[in-house]
Amino acid sequence: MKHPRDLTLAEMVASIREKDLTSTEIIESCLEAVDLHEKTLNAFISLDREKVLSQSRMIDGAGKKTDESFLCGAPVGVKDLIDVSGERTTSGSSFFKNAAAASTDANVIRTLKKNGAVLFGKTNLHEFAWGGTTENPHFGNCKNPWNPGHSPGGSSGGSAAAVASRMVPAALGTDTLGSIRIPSSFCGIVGLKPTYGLVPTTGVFPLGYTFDHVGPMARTTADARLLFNAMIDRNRRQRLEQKAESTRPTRPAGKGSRRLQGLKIGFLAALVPEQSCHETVYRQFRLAFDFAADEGAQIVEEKFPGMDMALFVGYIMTLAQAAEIHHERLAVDPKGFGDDVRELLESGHFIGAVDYIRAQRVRAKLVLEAKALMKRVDAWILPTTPTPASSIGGPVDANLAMFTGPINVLGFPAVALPSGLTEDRLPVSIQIIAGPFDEYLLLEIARVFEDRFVFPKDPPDWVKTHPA
Amino acid sequence: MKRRDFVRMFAEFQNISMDRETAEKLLAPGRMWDQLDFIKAALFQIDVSGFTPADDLDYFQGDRK
Repeated sequence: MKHPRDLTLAEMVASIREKDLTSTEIIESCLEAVDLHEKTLNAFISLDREKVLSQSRMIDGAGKKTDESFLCGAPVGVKDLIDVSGERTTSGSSFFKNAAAASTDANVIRTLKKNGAVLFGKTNLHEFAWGGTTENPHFGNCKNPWNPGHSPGGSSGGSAAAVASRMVPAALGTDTLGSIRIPSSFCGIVGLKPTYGLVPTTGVFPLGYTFDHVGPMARTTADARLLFNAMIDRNRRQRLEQKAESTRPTRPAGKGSRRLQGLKIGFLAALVPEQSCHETVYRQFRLAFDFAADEGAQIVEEKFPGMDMALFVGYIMTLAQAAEIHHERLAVDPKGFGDDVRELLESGHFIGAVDYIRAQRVRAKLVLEAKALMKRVDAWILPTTPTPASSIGGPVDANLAMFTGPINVLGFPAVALPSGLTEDRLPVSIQIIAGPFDEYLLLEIARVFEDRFVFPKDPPDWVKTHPA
Repeated sequence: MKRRDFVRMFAEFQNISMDRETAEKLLAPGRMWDQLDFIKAALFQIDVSGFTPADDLDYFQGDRK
């Protein structure tokens, strides 16, 4: 039997518009999924059922949906790093476990409310978003819906687990060195890190101001686009539409044709050492280029000298910025942090101004190189993570952010897209990167790959077999 | 002066407390101190002549609110 919660976000919105379902019926179905799975997955830090239902009843009662109400009362999870008025923002930290409720909405939440979203709980995360596993000592470890013995990735692990397990069709994540895309990769969903600055970060607790992004996480590229559009105002959407119309000589055509005809896709072999990747990750990464060529794209072998330094730049600047942000807390109550986060914050204090300035200058050089690359290609592809989800409590791949972190340093948009399953049935993912403000092109390209990769449309195995 | 003591002294200079155990953990071979040393050295191998520091990217020209 298909439940309303099994619908994609786009299908939910269409069902509400067509009056086949109400927002409240969808919310109730999602709450049933929470009853089934939350005890095991621990994807939410807080979820006030009455508050969620009152939002849906209000939207249902309002009747006529305006054009602005893109989401018509469909539910969206919110990473608990983002302020929602009247709700506590814990940032996954002991310091804010009993904090007062936020008095105002983050900018992105205000826009989402205006666009008809029902805010469906605050999702679990790695403490202060400073880590890639969502193993959280203060609120409990979040689990991966494909195998609860494994990490969902992080830091937006709760959002990814909630979406993959169908507790909610889509959710907000934040991404400083990969925190949307890493959990999207581990949980087999789509995650978009937009162009730096495009989605406002006002009201979002910072990790590293220079690299922080807010973005959508969903099960399909169409849903990621729908939520992304609901996160930004009309001016920004128009700007992106104008860019999409004006800068591409050939648009990807409709389904069934060579949909990437006229596009140049970059293959930067030197950035992806085979020995650093799980065999399925690498095989599916290479397969993406076969698909691209088959769809009419021109594959262009490219180089990006110095790109191997980008992650170092990301680490130096994020370590220092995070250390400054948490300086007083670290001085007063160092034991209030989990061991891993405390070590990172202490280390940040040992980055000198000289090192920081050098990192900024290297960054300036890398951004220039990247802009030059984007004059030669329309998009390029990397794996999202070099390995699939790690075991909870087990060793974490030291290179986890090797493909995601560099893109934050550039500020370019990137989308993580499921590309297959390992023999152990854990998801792997490719990452597609485009130039600033090319989100729509990026998602169109991703949609073509989504059609080509054989990734299960059904819920994860554990969710399917979990007793009702 | 032992590196461990230097690290603790520097931490004190930065107004954060650091016990001996933490300092030793940071300094253990292959751990954070070594990694930072490696990263810093690598960044200083890059020729950045002609480039000034880039902090906030200007893609959105300040319109981020």
